[in-house]
Amino acid sequence: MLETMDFEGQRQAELVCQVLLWSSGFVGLVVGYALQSIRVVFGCLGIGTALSFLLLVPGWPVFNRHPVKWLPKIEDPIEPESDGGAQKTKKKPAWWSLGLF
Amino acid sequence: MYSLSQRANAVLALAVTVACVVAAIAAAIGPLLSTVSPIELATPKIAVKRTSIERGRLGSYYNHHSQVVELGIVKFDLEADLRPLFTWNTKQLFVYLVAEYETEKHRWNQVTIWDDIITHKDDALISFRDKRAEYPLTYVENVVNGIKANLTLHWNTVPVVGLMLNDRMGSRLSNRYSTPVLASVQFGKKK
Repeated sequence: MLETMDFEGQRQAELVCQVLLWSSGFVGLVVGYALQSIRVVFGCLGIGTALSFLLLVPGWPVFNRHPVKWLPKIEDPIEPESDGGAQKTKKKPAWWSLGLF
Repeated sequence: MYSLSQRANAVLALAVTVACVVAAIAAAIGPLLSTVSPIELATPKIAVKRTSIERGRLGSYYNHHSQVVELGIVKFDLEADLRPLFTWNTKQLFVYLVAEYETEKHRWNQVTIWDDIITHKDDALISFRDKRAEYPLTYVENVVNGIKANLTLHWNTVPVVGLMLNDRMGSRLSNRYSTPVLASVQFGKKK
């Protein structure tokens, strides 16, 4: 059920993803350097990745608020009959496709 | 971002890119800072206690296919404080003691007589008394009598992310024929 996102939701999700991941990278770097521990750097990055996965991969309702407005279905139009058999009904194939099929 | 799997792929790809950039920055911080304020190490102290020449085989004691050669055994005291080398980006330190000597036939010989892997900062304060060298000193001509060797302490810094650096006691710009000397060892008597 959480499979689809509409286009506005996709745009928002991309934005959140970029902001979340880059900021978790740089915050992790700064905090890790202050604490002199490289585990903090990659731990912060891992938490940011897990959070991004949870928030952005499933199609939550917040990303489905602007569904696409499809046009109403119309009946199949009736094709007008072409006059006699004098005119060609088949289109002439292009010269570059003659050798292929 | 049009389907579940595509979104997962996109998020994961961006996460890997961010990880690469962060790792590159973390790796570059160390060398950049050391050009501004290089790591100062106190000179290690080595005292050679005893040298002896034994006859034995390299490799297995019972392997009669290898010949019996002369082996130079060194017993030494070592005091070194390598703790400043342990930064946030250090995984381990590989420390090794090298004996260098010159003979008439060969200009430059190097033999590692002791090595150790140090994984914690507290273990980097080395203090040995009467330590027997792990590896014997040998020579390609299988005669050790009369060799006078110089001992130098080398180390490799193995980082978590980044490039491995080699260094040794002394200046970084020493060339191979002016290696900094910690102590001298004399095996046997000069002929």
